[in-house]
Amino acid sequence: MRELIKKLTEISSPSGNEDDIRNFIKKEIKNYCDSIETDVMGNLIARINGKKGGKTILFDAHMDEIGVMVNHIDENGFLRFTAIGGFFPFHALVHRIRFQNGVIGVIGEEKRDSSAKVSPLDKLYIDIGAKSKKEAEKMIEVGDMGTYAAETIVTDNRIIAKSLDDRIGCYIMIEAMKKIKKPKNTIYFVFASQEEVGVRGARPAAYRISPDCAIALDVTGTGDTPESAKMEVKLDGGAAIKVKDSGMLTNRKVREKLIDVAKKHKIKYQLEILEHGTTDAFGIQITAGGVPTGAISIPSRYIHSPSEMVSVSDVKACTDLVVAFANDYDA
Amino acid sequence: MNIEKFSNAMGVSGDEWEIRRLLTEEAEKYADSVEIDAMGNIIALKRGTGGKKKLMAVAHMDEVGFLVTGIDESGFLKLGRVGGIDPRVCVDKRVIVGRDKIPGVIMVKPIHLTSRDERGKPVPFSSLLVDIGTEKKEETAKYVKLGDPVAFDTKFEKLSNSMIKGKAFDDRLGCVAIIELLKKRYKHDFYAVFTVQEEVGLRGASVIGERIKADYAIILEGTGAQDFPNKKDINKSPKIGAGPCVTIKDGRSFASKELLKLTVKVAEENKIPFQFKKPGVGGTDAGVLQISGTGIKTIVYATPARYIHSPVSISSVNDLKNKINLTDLVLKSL
Amino acid sequence: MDIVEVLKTLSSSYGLTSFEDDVIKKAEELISPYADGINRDKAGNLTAFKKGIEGKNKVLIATHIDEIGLIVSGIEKNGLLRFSTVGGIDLRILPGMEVMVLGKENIPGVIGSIPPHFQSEDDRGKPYGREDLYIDTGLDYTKLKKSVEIGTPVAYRSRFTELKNKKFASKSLDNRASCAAMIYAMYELTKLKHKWDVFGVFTLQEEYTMLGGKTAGFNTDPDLAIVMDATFGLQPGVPKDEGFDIDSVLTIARGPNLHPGATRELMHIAEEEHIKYEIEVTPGMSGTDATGIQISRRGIPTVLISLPIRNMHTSSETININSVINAGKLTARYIASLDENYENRFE
Repeated sequence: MRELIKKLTEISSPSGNEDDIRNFIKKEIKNYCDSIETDVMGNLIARINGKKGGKTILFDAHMDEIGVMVNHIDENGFLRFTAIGGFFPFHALVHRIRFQNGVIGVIGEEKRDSSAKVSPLDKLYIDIGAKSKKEAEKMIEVGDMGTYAAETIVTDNRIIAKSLDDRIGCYIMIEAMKKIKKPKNTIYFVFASQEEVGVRGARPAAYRISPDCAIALDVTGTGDTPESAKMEVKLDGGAAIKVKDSGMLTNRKVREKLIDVAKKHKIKYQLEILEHGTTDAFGIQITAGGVPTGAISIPSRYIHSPSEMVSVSDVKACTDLVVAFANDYDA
Repeated sequence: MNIEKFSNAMGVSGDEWEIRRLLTEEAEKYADSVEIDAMGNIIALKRGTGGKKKLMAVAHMDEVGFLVTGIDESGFLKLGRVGGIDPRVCVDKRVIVGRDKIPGVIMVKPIHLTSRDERGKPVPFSSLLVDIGTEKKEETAKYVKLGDPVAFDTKFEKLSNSMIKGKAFDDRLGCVAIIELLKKRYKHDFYAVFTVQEEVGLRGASVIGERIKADYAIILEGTGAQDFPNKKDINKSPKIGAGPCVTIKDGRSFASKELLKLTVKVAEENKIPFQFKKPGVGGTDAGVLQISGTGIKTIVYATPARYIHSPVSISSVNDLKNKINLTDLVLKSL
Repeated sequence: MDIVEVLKTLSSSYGLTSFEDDVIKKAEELISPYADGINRDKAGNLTAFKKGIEGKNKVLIATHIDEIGLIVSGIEKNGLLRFSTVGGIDLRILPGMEVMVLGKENIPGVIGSIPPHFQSEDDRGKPYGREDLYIDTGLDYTKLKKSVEIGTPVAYRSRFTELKNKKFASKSLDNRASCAAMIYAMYELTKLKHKWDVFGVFTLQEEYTMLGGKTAGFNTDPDLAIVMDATFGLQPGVPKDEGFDIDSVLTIARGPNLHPGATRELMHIAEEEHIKYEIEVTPGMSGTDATGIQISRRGIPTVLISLPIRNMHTSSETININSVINAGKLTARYIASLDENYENRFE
């Protein structure tokens, strides 16, 4: 487990440039499904065939992560950049960026106004150590993308890494695929592209598949750190079954089925309301004529930072819930 | 290439009546079929000579403007904004109101009667009123109805051999480009689409994907030029005169890698000047077209124009010609 | 048809966004006598179908049936419930409000707040934040846990009151009044001849994601859509050109979300039928299902009729019953005027 999570989280694949993570996942899953394809948007779609009369379920986790895109190389070889997805200035300062071609940079800031607590994005730059514009242009082009560079740590019960949002969702789907054998339902696993820039991959994928129900797997916040905003979800509290987030309310029947399945199989679960933030579920739910959609969330601290943190037991609970739901669901 | 009549035409998002009529007439001269859909989008088809793909070029016909939201006791019109207009560019401008294009003036208090305090703040949009010359509410009501569209009244003008001035270059220049492309015939079926309501949320384009399952879509837009004097060492693209602006990523979409590669290749081989747009900024119809249905490969070529979303824009005809040329060659190579 | 009874039944039922089952059941009972068929589409919207004489074209009537409210976000050890909001709720109306916790049973409660003398001088000058308010049912933790969990909906407690001059105060007149108007329209249509097929849809989840409107448009795929929703009634504090007289008018909307040709036709019918209306200008998004329906599928020509109510999004929304009747009449007469000569025209 440690190895797979390490590999998944250490790959740099920001929204729009998911080739590396897609190729890796493809290799991992090819022996555990009946078909694999990549669609126009770059989604990786795997299918496990079910039996006649079974339902079609879509599980979704997004492969892309937040990052940066270079928009200017200045006269002295420093880079200016724009955010890819929710890349927040208050996490960014002095962290390391790895560009997709391997170049490493450090995020610095202009002189700060005394009144400002955090420099906004347009007052930050990336230092790749170049001595001049000419040297920098040999290393980087405008349009190049990068992500945080951070080492993944896995202990007995904690995983600390960048891009657990949503590589941990991808991990759960990969593990579930290994465990689902000859299901009655047809199961699609969509490793979606471009979630962080507006839920862009999942929508065409759901449109094409038109499932009977869909479950999105993504991270959610927790309310268990000092003086945090009030939220019931906590690390080690089990698989979070989403009720509401800032983009949608989950389908009641799907949510109740998830709860029933969790109770039946004695899988630890908790109920989730997230005040700020949403997932692919929001886009899938309103596709075409509507898809009954729910979400299983992995409780996470420090989301969108280089040090996201989740609980190993929660991850296992989520995996078990995915497998159980895939097998038990019958609308 | 008659930019003048298209730039001058009225077409505030949601009521694109005049520009739609002009574009339909023009498209009917060159297309095999022209349809207008439920939203008012124009879809013109030029059948291919045997190719199996579906190509699409898209430009939006609507412009930012206003709607009449109230008529006060003195007969002056209150306005609501349609699309993103900075209130500071609205003061003391000439406008045209409704289907009869009634001329009006956005009034301003004379400077002599303003206090220093007042002059230190922008004129609040909610205080702006339009005078069409009537004396009271009942008289105005004979000419104007609540909800009537109001557009800037700017007349097109050539400033030099290459520079032009007018309103709505975002995106009437794109519309002009598409008319030029309609004059040709390509290997594959070519859909020339003029969308409505781009400025109020890419709404016209939202319904195109259900009707046309295109393989490739090139969106021809107008984008704000950034070539102003600015001491800071940051990205100042796009520049007027440096050619069509190719988008790698804007606020709503990534360019298809295949189309991006092809664009650069075609431009370099044919020595067509082009520039890359500063990544991250803005949004176009590509944002909704790309994720419609099962997904479409898209790219955006934009003509840089100064002062878009204001009463007057300035742009270069050479950039427009190069954009048309580039699009034509890319469509030929697909 | 006793329209006041219909309005009372609908607005007194509970049906928060995404928890609409109870009110859907009532709506189905109320509309069935006037429909040829009823079903729920893939997204859960309740559709009442009425066959037209020719049946070549389809018209969709859409009224959202969900109401705003609260949702339990936590149960404190002392039995007080914390909550999150569903839809646009002004927190300032909550202190002292009576609510109904819709758990396994309906449990009445009150929204409590810290008494002023326990607050600092500074804090007393500010409205209560969401995290300072609680729902107090008087029950203890153990009892509550049996019936309530995170995600249990909590509604404004229902209280339907008749005021003077045909006016009524209740929760959720936004948008049950329009739902009542749609039922009235279906009833009128049984007395009129209409050529087009009619789909009367109670849409879900308008107050949060507009899910129902978007999917109803897609699933029905009509040639025309008539949306009915609430708009602002004039009251002190509402500017003159943003509110409408609740005693005399309906509104017909003009703006990018609405089809200019169809809207003109609707105004024409209103004038012919002597139904008073005013133009409501919406330069931006309409804030109703019209926004989602217009761009669903291949695009649907949409018109919007609005019923003015005072105190929108509170538990004492106020309406004149004539608005409901007139909206229903106008919708029915408009539909009856549609024939095979209908063209999608913008001029």
